[in-house]
Amino acid sequence: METRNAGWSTRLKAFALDWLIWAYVPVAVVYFFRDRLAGQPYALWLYLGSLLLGLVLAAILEAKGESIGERVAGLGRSQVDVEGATVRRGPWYRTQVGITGVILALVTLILGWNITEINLYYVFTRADRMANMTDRLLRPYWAVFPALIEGMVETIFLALMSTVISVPIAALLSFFAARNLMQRVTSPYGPLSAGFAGVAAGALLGSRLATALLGPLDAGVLDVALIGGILRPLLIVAGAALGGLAGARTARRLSLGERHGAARLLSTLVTAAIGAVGAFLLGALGSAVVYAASWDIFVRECGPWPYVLLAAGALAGAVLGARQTPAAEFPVGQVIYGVMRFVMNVTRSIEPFVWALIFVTWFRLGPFPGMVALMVHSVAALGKLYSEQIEGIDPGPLEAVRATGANELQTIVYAVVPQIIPPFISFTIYRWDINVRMSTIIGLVGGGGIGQLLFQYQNLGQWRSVSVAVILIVAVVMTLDTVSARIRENIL
Amino acid sequence: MPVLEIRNLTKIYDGRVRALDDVSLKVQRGEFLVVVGLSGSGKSTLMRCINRLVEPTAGQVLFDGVDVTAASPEELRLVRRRIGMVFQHFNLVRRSSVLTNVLSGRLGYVNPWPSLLHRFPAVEVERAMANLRRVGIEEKAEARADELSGGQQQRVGIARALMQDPEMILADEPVSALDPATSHSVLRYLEEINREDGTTILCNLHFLDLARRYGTRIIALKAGRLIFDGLPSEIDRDRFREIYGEEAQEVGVS
Repeated sequence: METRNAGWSTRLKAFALDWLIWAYVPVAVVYFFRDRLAGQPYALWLYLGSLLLGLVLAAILEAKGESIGERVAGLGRSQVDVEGATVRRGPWYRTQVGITGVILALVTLILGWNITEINLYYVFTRADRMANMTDRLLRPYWAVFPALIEGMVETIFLALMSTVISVPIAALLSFFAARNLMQRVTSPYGPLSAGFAGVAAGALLGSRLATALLGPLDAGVLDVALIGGILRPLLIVAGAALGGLAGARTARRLSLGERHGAARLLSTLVTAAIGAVGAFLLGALGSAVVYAASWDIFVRECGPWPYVLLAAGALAGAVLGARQTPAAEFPVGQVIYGVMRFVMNVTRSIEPFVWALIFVTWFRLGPFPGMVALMVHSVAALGKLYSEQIEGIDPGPLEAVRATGANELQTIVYAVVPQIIPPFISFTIYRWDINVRMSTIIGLVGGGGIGQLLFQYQNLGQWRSVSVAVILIVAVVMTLDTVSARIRENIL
Repeated sequence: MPVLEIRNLTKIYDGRVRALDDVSLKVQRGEFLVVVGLSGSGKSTLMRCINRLVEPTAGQVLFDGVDVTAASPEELRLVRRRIGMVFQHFNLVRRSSVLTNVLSGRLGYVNPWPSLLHRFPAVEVERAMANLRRVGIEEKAEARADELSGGQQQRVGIARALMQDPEMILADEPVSALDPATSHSVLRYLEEINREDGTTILCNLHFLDLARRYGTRIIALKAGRLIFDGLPSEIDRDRFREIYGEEAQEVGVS
């Protein structure tokens, strides 16, 4: 049988999946009775026993016919066996995969019903409790209409501004998050590591310089907070850029001057430093999580461990660094791609609602923090959509323009940009549409707009005003939906 | 000195697929060299290794004495702009105008900064129009590239290559997406460029009768190996069987 020839890692994956599934079923059953088990000392043992039972069940079923894990892992037994005779599977409800599927679905639905506390009794007996509120919702208090219009205008512009500002940022970032473009970008290891060291040193220097410059300023005459807030990041970024360039330049000159030993030493030192810092930060993070304390517990109370980790990290970094020649190409594009994707995914999975909570603390209540919150989320969401469009372009023109001797920037402008403009516009309009809907919610946490008014009315129990707000929101969202769909149809 | 010299060129994809196997070759200035072979015999890989659209695994490519395989990114750009390339699927930017597509062939020569804003010197626009006139589609300059027929698109591709004032043109299956009549018209333009400008041409072709008709010399690849190098007239029945396999029947494109 073909199944027997599969690689052990695939087989392991299939078995792990089966174990997961068959442990899930008894665990779900135990969890169903969680109220009765609360405080019982043997509850933990029941869960552990379930895991074991899952293992046993998976092992037994693995041996008997094709299991669901095997199917998912791509080990599905081929229809034709070695002798060339067709293996009949039989009707789906008599196969192992079919039966497992039904059991999984049933267990999950029953548990879901239990966890979400679906209560049909309430559905059929308490409908009259709604009467008072429904009655008022159905009689909108139109006097608040002018105030709500003002809120709505604020909301629409909030959405517009957040979209408009996010577009150029997302468009720029999306190129760094497109695998097909970044895969080709490599940099020689020596200049890269030296540049990295330069960035760190330059940033530090810039920060120091800012402190030194700001010290003697007279707080009575000047707005020191403003000057510092502008000057410090500016100096740090400038220092990092200059330091990076200087580092890379030095390393290149060293290796061009045939002083490979020096270039190698430099890059080894840098990787050692990166290793040391990395290990230290991991240790700090680990201890902070384990002791549920702030990160400095690592330095204060973990004895010699910080030093041990620093030394170990430096050693590992140095060994890894010394094994590379300074001229070896480092896939820096792949790394940037990975980091960009990760940051975008994290940013995107934090709801605009939560971003608004953060920015309200920074920028105080009002439409501004709401706009920034939506913008941050839009940058991540659009960046992902844009970069997927870039990854999906026809590589032919790219190849053709590159072959003419055009540089990378020209290649992007001539071969990539024309291909991505229509989908970019379409996604941008779609995003504006989403932002209008989201900005009504953002108002709930003080992010301005009609949402803020809605929340106020609801808190005061003014359901007739809430009604007007809801009507207005529905009207605007519906209109926008239609308009944006129409525009996008015409573009694509 | 040969314009192109290939020494022991080998390309292995993903560490397994041997697309080119120790190919050595010299091409003299002004030749119309046709490369034949089955699909997957390594013809396209050979073309792309010459201007390093594909990185060779081993071996050397010398173009006019310059070691392309050892060139830095900047040197590679300078080599690439002297080598025009024409593609099977034309590889035009479909949404851009014909003129923009042709002008993009000049990107390696012009000042890069204005070019990023689609600004070209008047003399380059004039050159583009002249090249479009040469391939007979001057009146289509303002049309979008995807409004043109296949044959017209390939002529735009040729005009784009001509913008480079190329010393050599690599044509990768330039007619296999076209019908027989259009195929001849496109190949005749390449032939004309070869004769009038003395531009060396390397051309991959599927059909042997096209190869015989246009090539001044033919090489054949089979499973990445060079198995024939000679004059068009030297390919007889046995040679043909050797290149295309025992089962093959010669079909014609008239």
